[in-house]
Amino acid sequence: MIRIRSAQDFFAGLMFVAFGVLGAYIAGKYPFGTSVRMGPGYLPVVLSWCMIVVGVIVTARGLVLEGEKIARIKLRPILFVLGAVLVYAFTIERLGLAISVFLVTALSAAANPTVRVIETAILGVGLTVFCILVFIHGLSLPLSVWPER
Amino acid sequence: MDLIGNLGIGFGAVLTPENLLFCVMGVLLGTLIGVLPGIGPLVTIALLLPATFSLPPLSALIMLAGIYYGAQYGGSTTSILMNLPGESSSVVTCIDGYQMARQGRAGAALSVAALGSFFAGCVGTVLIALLAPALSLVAQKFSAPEYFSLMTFGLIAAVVLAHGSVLKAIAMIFLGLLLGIVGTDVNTGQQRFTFGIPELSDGIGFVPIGMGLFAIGEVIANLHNPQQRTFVASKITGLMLSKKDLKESWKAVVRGTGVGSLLGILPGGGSILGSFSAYMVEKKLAKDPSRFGKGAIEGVAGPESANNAAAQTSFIPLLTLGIPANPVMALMMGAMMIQGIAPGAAVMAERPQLFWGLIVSMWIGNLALVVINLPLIGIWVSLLRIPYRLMFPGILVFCCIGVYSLNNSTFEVLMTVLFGFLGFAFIRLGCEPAPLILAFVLGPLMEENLRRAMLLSRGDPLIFVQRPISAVILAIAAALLVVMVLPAIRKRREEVFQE
Repeated sequence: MIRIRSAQDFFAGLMFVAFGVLGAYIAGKYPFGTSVRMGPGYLPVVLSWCMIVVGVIVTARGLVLEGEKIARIKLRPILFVLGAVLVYAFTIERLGLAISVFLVTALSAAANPTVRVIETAILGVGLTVFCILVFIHGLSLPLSVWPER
Repeated sequence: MDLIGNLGIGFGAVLTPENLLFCVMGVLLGTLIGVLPGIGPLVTIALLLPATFSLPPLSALIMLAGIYYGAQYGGSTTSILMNLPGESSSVVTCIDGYQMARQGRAGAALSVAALGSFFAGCVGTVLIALLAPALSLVAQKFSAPEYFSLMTFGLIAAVVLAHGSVLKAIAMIFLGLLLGIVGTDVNTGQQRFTFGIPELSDGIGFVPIGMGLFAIGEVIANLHNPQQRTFVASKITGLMLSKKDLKESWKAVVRGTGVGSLLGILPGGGSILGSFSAYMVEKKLAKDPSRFGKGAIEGVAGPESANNAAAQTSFIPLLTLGIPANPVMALMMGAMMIQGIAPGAAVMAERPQLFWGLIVSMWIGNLALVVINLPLIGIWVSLLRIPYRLMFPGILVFCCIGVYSLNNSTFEVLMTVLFGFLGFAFIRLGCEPAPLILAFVLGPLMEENLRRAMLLSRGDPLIFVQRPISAVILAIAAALLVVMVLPAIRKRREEVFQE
């Protein structure tokens, strides 16, 4: 019976194999060339195969040797932190620095399950003012503060 | 003498009121951000990079050097007071520094770290000034095979230094090299791994990868386990070192400086290797090794000096060969490119003011650390009292603004999200990102030199061992690999990282 003895190694290995297969598949379409005149496909294909080999070994080790489990994964911090950065990407040009910074602060603070609303609001305003002072007035970065009409 | 003349050029260029102001500002900002837990010099520099865009080249470099040293010192402060290393090179400082702080000697630990760093910085500056011209002569003998071998050496060193599994570190190197390939192939114009996205034709940006892996991924991981912050020193007193402290630590400072400067020159090494080795040296040489881990002042003095000396000398490969020895240097290289300077031996010959100015500014940055940071220690400490739930939104905001402002590119912010997720995945899967980022930086350079070398040798891979300089470099790299695989050493390596 096959049993995963080290989830960390097992899944890390699978991840490397997946990246390797993807790389080898895509780069396989580029001209390979010869070792004298390497084509654009040469190195990526070779590297992808190396990664597949190492990935297989790591996966196998995860099945054979006892090792670390994967620590707990919570959805909330992942979603809110990445979501906050995404929101910045989509708002900075349209809504300007002030609103973006406030949104990023509010959203990311919500990554914490025990979020405090008033405290977060104060933090958001504080950070917004700070960023406007430092980045717009201090460093004169070419960012607009308010939504452009 | 040449050395004095050269340094004179540097001082002449740096010692203007504006430049000094930028240096001091850099040190202050660097410490301010670097002191935040979980933020190492790499992220600090990346965050503050946009601040230098509008400056003239020399001022920008001076400010960056200040930021770098400030960030490092900020990291040490956090290590000593909170046992939270910002990056792997300050892990060692935690061991005895935190113990000293618990015994009420935080002031002494912080002082010895600053003074040791200053001494190391002085020596490092002189070393660069002495060695850089000599090495740039050697660099003229380098051609494609030597460059390739040297970078291979750097990657192998990065594997040796990575925590945890060697195999996973090797896989991370391959992944980093592949990520470095993304973009337009210089030789043929072929688009590689761009998925038809025009923004990717210039390759993936260094800052989105670095911020994603080291800052965003870290924040997500930190939010998983609400930390019990064990903040020891409520008030920092006793900044002055006693005679006994001085007597115990000065030799460690000198030895650490020696070890650090030597190891800092090697590509792939940098400050991590320096501080680890210095700690081992001190422990070996101590009359009573059992004091280590219980607040031995040498355990702070040695690694902190080594750390700073290595930070200094790791500029040498960048300035003479144009090869970044570690991720921080890669960022410095990026900053130089933005200012229109291609790092390498040519800078020294063509723009002596800039080159020597940069070197002198390193020394001034170190001086500023002692003169400004130590008296301000109370402010830095009070920053550490800010609870994490208030701190991480700020970190995220700065990351967003920093990444976006680099190229005013929304796309780079999206890449940061992607690499933030990957960074968290890597943490959970026990894969250290440091080898990946170094491979990512060296990848394009390596491919170019490999292709050239193969063209030169008509496809014969033996060229790498037939050329003497290249053969020696590869032999050392091979020795490193063998040593690492030997079971006895492997166990030792684990012990070192355990500590």
